[in-house]
Amino acid sequence: MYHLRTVATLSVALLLGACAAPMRSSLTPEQRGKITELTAHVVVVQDEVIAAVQPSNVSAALGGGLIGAIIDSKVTNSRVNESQQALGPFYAAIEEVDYRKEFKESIERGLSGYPIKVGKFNTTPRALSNDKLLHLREDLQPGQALLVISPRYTLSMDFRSFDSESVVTIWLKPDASASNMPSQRGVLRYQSLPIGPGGKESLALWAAKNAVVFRDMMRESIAETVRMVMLDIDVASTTAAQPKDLKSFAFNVGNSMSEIKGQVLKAGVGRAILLGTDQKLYSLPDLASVATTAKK
Amino acid sequence: MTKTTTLIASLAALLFGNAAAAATASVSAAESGDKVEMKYDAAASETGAKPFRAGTCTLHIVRAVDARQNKETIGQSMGGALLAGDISPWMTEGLGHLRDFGYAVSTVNPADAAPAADGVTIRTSVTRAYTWQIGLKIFSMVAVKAEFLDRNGVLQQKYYRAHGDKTNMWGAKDEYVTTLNYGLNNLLPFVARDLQSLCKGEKVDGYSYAGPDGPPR
Repeated sequence: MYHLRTVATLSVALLLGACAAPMRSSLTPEQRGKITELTAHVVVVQDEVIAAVQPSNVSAALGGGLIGAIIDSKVTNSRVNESQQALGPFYAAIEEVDYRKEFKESIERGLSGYPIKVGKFNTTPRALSNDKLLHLREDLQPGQALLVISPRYTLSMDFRSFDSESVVTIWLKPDASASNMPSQRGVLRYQSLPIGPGGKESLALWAAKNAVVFRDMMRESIAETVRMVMLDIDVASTTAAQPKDLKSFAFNVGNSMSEIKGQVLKAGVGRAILLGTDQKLYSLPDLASVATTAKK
Repeated sequence: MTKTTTLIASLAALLFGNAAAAATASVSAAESGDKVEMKYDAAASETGAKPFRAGTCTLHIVRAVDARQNKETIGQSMGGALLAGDISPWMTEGLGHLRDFGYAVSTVNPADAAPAADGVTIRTSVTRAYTWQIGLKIFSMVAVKAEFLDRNGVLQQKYYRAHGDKTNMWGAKDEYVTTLNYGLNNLLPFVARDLQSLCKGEKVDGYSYAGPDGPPR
C-alpha cells in the first residue's frame, strides 16, 4: 500500500514536472508605456538559508522513469542528513540574521531611484496563492502594475557559494490583461565569490566573527537582485545578443565548476550582470575584471 | 497484475480527487493560505525508534516561548502558505513526553520565577520551526534554545537543532506538521540523554544536532 501511494504521488509529480513556464517573457512597449506606478510584493517563504542539496542525476540516467525517481528520493534524503549535521554550528552563528528585513530595507532603498515610481511595498512569508494574486491585481488602479519578487537563497552543496534565485513577474489589472500568465517574467540569479576550499572549512569561514562574511554576501545578493530587477524591464526591449557578444563566466554548480555564457549588461569591479544564453539574468563574480584592474 | 493496475488507477483517481478538494479549501481560505493545526503526535517517527530509559530526576517544564522570526507560517505546500499560530503548546506538549524516557514531569507556570527546589527546571524558546521540500521529500527544522535550572539557578544554557524528513505522500498539509513532529521527536532523545548528566549537576555540550539517527550510544 505504502509503495502504491508513493507510486501514485510520483506519477503526479512527474506529470506536473512536465509543465514549465517560459523562462523569460517581456512587456510590450505599449504595456510598458502605460505603467506609471508599481506595487511591489516580495514573497520570502524561507526562514533561513538552506544548503542546496542537489537531486541526484539518477533519474535522468535511467530516462526519468519511476524507479529512478524513487532512488532519487532516497539519495536526496541522505544528502540532506549529511548537510544538516555539518551545518549546526554555522546555523548557531546566523540565528539573528533576518533576510526578510534586509530585503525589505534594500528594495525600498534601491527602487526609490527607479524611473517608475514604486508606491507600495509588502514583504511576506506567505507563498502567493492564485486567489491572493487575483486580489492584488484587482486592487490595482489605472496606470499601476504589480511587481512580484520571490527570492530563494541557498548555500551550494560544497558550501563554497551563497546563491540566490528570484523569480520576478509583472502583472496588470485583470481587465488590462486577461491572461493568467504574467505580462513579464524573469529569473534572476546571484552567486557570491567562492569562500574557502569547501565543506566544513568553508562553513567555518562563513560563520567566523559573528558570520560577517555570510552577512556581507547575503546583503550583496539582495542589492544585486534589486539591481537586476531594475535592469530587467529595460533589457526586455534590447535585441537578442549576437554570438560574438557572449562572454563566459565560471559558475559553481555545487560539486563542480561549470560555465555560464551571456551578454554582459553591466560590468563592475569584480562582478558583472549578464543575460545568459538560457535567458536568465546573472550577477556573477568576474575575477578577470579584478585581474585587469589590478594590472592597470 | 490486473489487481495492481486497478489499485494504482483508483489511487490516482483518489489523489486527483484530493487535489480538487485541496483547491476548494484554498479558495475558501481566500487570500490568506491554508491553516494547519500544530498537533503534537508522540508516535510520529521516521525510524520507529522507541524511547530509552533515562530518567533520574523530576523535570519541571515551563511553557515554551514562541521566539520565531516568522510567526505566521511553517512553509508552503502546493496549495500555498501553511499558516500556523502560536506553536508554544506544541513544543510544551512535546517536551512533556520526556516522561516516556522515565522522567517524572510536571508543568510550571512561567510566572513562577524561582526554579523548583528539586530536580531540573527547563525553560525553552523555539527560534525556528519550518519545513521545505526537495523533490518528493519534505524536510523540517526545529531550533530550540534551552535553559536548565536547578535549585541554585541556571545550570546550563544549550542550543539544539533537530530535523526530520518524510516522503511527500499526498501533498496534504498535515504531512508538513507530521514532518515537524518527526523533528521534535528526534530532539527528545537528545534532551533525555543530556538530562541524565544535568540531573546530577553535571554540564553537557553547548550544542547538539538531533537527526533521525538518534544520539550516539
